[in-house]
Amino acid sequence: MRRPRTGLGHLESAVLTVVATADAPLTVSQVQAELPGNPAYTTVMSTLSRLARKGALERSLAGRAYKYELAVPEGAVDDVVTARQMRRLMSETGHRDAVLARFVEELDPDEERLLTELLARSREENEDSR
Amino acid sequence: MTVTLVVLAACLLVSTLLLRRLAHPLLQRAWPAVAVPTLAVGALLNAGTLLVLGGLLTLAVAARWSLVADLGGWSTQELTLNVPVPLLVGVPTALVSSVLGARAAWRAGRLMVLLCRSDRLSRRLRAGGSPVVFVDDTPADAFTVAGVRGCVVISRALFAELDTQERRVLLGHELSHLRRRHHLYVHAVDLAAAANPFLAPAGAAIRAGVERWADEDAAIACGRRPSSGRALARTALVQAALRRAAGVPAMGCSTSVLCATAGGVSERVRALLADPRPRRSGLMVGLSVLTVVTVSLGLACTVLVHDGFENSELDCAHAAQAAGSS
Repeated sequence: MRRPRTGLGHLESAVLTVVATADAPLTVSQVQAELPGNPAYTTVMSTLSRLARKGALERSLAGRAYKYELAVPEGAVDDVVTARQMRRLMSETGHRDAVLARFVEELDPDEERLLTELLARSREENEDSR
Repeated sequence: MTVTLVVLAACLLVSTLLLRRLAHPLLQRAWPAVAVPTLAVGALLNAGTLLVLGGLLTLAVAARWSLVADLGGWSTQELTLNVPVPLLVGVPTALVSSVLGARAAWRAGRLMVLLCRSDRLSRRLRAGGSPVVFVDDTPADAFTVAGVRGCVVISRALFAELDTQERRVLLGHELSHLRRRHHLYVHAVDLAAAANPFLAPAGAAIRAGVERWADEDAAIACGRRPSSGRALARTALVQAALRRAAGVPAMGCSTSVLCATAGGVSERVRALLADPRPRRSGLMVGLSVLTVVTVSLGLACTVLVHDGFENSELDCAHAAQAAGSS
């Protein structure tokens, strides 16, 4: 199967999401239980070990099973040069628009109110349907 | 040839107007995973064909200048007959298209530089590790940095405030940007807008479109669309509260292109709370057909103009031969 050059397939990104959202390291079966669409145990296991081989995950032996967690880069993130590069990236408007995709843009007060309303209304509907 | 050139110009005009007017409604109404690539490819081909048309007309006018004609060995009289472009049309087109071509080249170079810089940054951030990087340095924020490999940066302060569902939507969204290389679509439309300034509104639309695409991917990864929509809304509110508490000044939103789609987050939430969009729409099929027709006409024009030049050249050679033999 063709994989994009980021080296992340569909399942790999789903597995990465599950591992990254957990507070503690997870075993293969714990990851399997959290994934949507019921993938096979062996599939999850091979995806996890592939991600570990790529350096995205770290695995440790806990009892008789491997547990997986997100690999933490050593020191690089908080060093001075990286921080300066990142601040530059964030502050140049043209640059930011071209190469950064932010999860949500800043909210103005109107939009904040709108979101709160939407959330309240949707919650009510959700409770009605139950 | 004149007819083909005029029809091509008309097609370009119609497709430019369509892309300009309908980019935003199209991305709102159609399924983003289909609409975004269609729009990006359409815009890029539209701009490319425009530059080709401009180049052809420039060549046709320039070659009539005796200096250029001698250089290419063309007969100027034959050229006027074989490639009939009136100077009144040709000269202004030549001027405008060289400016637009230079603009596109400049933008392409600029995008390459920006991409190299952000690629370097993402390499540093990843440091050979996971594509998801948690940082303390940034104010409450989450974003994807483009690059050959790219990475997702999330501030620990924001992540700590979210529940599992919200974290999954956030990560699913950002990993979707990374996995599908959404920045390339944005770059394609930016480049197209440099070559054809009338396409500028499509740039804002495509940015909104890739956000919607990533939202849908995140919703698929989490199972249910409405609850993903609520998670998105809550995350936006949590981030706003955190930033306010930290006293972070707004990042110059007025100049940002992304903010041209003000009301972006609530639109995205509403789209997730509503039923999923149809995967196909008549509008999109129409746009694709128009793009194909325009590109084919562009190719046909190139061939016709090339033939015209070739014929003029042949006659020139004949004349020289005749002069030599007599």
